[in-house]
Amino acid sequence: MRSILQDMRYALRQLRKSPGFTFTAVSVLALGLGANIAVFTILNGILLRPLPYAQPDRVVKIEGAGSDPYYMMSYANMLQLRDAVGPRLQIGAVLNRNVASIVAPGGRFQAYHVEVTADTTAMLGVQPILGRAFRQEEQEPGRSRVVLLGEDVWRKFYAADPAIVGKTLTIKSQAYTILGVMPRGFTFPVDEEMQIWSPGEVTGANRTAMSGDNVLWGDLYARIPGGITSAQLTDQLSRTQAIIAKVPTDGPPVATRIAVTGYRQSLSQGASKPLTLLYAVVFGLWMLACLNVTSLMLARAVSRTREQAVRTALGASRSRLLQQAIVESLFLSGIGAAFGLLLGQTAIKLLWHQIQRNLPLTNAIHLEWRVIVCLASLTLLTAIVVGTIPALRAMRRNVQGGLHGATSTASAAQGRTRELLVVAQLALTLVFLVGAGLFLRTIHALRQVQLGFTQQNVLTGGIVLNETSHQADGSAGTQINIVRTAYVPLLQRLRAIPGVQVAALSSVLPLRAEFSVNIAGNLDHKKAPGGQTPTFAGRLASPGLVEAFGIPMVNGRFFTDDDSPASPPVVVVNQAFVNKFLPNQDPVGHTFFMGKGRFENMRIVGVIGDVKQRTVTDATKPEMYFCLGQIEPGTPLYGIATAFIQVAIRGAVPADSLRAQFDRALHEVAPDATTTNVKTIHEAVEDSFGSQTFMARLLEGFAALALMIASVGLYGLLSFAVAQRTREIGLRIALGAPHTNILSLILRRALLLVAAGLTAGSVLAWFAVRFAKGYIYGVQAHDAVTFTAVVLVLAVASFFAAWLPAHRAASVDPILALRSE
Amino acid sequence: MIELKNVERSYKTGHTETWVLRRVGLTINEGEFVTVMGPSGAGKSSLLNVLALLDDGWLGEYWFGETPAHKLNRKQRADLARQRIGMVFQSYHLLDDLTVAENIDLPLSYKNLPAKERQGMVADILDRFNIVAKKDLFPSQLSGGQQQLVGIARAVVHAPSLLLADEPTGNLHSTQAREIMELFCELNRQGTTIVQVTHSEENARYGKRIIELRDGWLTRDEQVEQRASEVEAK
Repeated sequence: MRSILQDMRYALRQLRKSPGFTFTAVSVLALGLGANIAVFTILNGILLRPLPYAQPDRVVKIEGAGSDPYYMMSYANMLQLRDAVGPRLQIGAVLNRNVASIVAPGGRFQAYHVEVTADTTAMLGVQPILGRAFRQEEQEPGRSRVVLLGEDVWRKFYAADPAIVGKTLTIKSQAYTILGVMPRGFTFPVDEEMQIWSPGEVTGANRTAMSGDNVLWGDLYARIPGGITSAQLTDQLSRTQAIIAKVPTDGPPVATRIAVTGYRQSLSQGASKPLTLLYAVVFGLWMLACLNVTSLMLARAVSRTREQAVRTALGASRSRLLQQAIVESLFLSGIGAAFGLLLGQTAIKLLWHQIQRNLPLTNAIHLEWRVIVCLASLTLLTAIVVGTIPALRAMRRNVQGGLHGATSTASAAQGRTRELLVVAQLALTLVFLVGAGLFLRTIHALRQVQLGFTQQNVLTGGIVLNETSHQADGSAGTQINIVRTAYVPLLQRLRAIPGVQVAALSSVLPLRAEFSVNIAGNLDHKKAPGGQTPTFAGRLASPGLVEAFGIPMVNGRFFTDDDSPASPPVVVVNQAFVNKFLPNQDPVGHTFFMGKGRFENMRIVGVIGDVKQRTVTDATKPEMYFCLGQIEPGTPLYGIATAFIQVAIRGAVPADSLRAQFDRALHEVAPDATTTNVKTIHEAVEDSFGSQTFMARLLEGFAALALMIASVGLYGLLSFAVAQRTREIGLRIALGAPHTNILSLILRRALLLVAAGLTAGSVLAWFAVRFAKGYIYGVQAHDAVTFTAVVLVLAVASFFAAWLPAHRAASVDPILALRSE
Repeated sequence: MIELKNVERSYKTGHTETWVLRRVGLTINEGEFVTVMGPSGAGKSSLLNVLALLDDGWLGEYWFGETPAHKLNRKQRADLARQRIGMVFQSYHLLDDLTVAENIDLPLSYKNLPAKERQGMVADILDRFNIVAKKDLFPSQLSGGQQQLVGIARAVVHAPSLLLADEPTGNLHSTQAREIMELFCELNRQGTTIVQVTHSEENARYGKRIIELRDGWLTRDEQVEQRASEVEAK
């Protein structure tokens, strides 16, 4: 311990004495460690941090599986599955999710109002910190107007009122009694902030209906009972599901088997691969930083040859010298880690918008003990890596040579090691540059994709209205028609805004699929070929949608103001729908059946061109538009109209200038309404590039860093070599060597190193790019243009890094250089 | 105390082998003050490096007291050197970033002694060499002579049985050199065996015995009574 303290004091003195070296080493390490910790913080939040439930690894999502890509699950189906396993299988279901606009003492806010089955919190193993959980009877009609608040809601909008239990809040004009408050950090479904929960209303008919008007759809979750594995549960549930599926229904297809997925896994599936790729990239950056600093330490070791020789002559053992070297490098990496942590957290803050847009579970991303442990471990590893090689090299030297200043042999060996390190840095840098290049080309390719609509001067935004009261049984008797009372007046006001050419409403806009519904039904009252019921995306839309986005009409017409509740119900489909369900037919005139009643025979009146829906790269899926003007309480899809609607305004002026007027028009119609994500469609398109843009920007940044570090490494190596050879160069000049001869002496060596680095890097990149294949678009992984461009960029940067020391060498004054002779 | 038998040392460069020590046989008794002399390239420093156990590439026998150093491995030799040998260098070889006290403490820190004991030993040596006032200074703040004094203090702080000095006054002017040599005499009187390498005849007269090397061969080994008696008379 004493010797370590002694070494620490000495290390501090040494580092203070060499501010240039210390600054360079600390900066490079800070960059390498900072990038690592930033990505690990994200990775920890999304992939590693346990969900806020008891034994979270036992909580699973249960979904239907079979020949179709997607199955809805009815409440009745869930109960049958639960009964098959028995009461030891705890289940919970999410029956509905809406965005609710709420006025609280602390202000107006939007919360995610989640309707769950009463036993959900018990299944999750979490109890409220105030009040109580739901009771089974609160699922009965008329008794479900109770709510549990999220801790963030309680804290921010109710000032953490300890007497909150028993008070009421209003959601869509309905009063809800507050039962309690859930613990801090609790969220279900995960990754939504500002949540409140109510028991979903379940009638007797809901418990048995597998289709029809009484069917209740939801997402099923469960806790795997003790003594059973996930695989065993899957088998058991699948056997039951196979029997359930044999019973014929009129509704959407029923799954023939069950898929059980860990809940965390189901959330982070899409993120784990890109995050792992990103971590591999920052790990490479860390290695680059270590190579660079090791090279610096090696050079430093040469200048401390005498000191090491003296210490050895005075009795220092090898382990003692190694300890001293590790302590010094621990100091460096410790300071680098501190700055790196600061840099990393700052980077997360700066990129937070992008991170939230592109990754799930972002509210779990913050600094916590796992991140600190990772940083500490990486700091220690860095110290060992950058300190050991130079120390071991120093120990190989002969003591007498060191005492007498004979360092040529040692320097030669160390020089080769440093050259190897520089070649490695160049190779790694090439890999980063290739990655960045491929992603840049991906973004370029994405921007060339035909979207099927115009991006010019279109403002979009979601709106959430407070629906007026409706009776407990959902009848239309006393219901106010939100379409008539809110949406139609809103459209009128929007169309009246100066500069607005078209205004339209739709439940889903292109590349703004924040809310979507799958519909199943029959065409022309016929069973579809193969017995499969057509399933497609359902949307509500007002007249003007195609004009707002410049979507071409392929056939027929879009909705008009003449399409009203009194006129025959009409629908419009897209070309993908026609290709899949009505190939080689004129779709206009065909009818669509969704159940008995007013919407029994909906006639297809038009076909619109395909537009990009969720992402730019996915193929367009079949969709069907229902006329918003024909939707009223009691008709199918009225629930969509009340849940969420989006606005599209196309102007003759820049879309951004319409924001304030949009907001004003909305609040004139509905003072309590709130908006979500108001942005131009161009911004929505850019956001939809999502992970590719994010990855591209990160890789660009890392590649630029790597290029800087590698160039500094090459520059440092050649500068050092020139300094070591000053006497030799002076002698050459004194003997008549021309300027160009000296330049080529240095540049030749540099050329060899750069060539070796480019070759090694190209081979490494050739293999490394296969990991990026899933993320790039419109460009091959082994794209010759990218590889060539990268090699040129690196060659040019390396040339400039080598030129300065070469020029300095050629400018050596032979008199000064040979003075000691 | 020290016995060398047929000690040889050579360096291979390419196809050439250069002999720097050839069948050197030598006995140094405890308490002797021996001077090694010879022209450049004679093998003086090589002999000193062998005696200091800094060099492993020699052949022959080297007895340090009863210990056969020629049979020890690298670690054992280093241990022996750490315990029993002190070295003084021509270029002082003080560490620039350590104070005088820290430089003197350096060899003690490699012996795993308790801190208090080390502090006591350093304080004693500082006092003995009259450099207490300079204990917190850095080498760059000292004159050449003072630096060499510190070098000697560092070499003897752990009370070695053998003190080896390689051109200890090579970088000093005559007054400083004289002071250093008189210090060596004093140490020798107190019982330290000293072997010095020097070109200086003047310095050689402080010793009691002169060994001469030429081309690696030991060509002369004679007592020097005259200078020793002159010093004693003073």
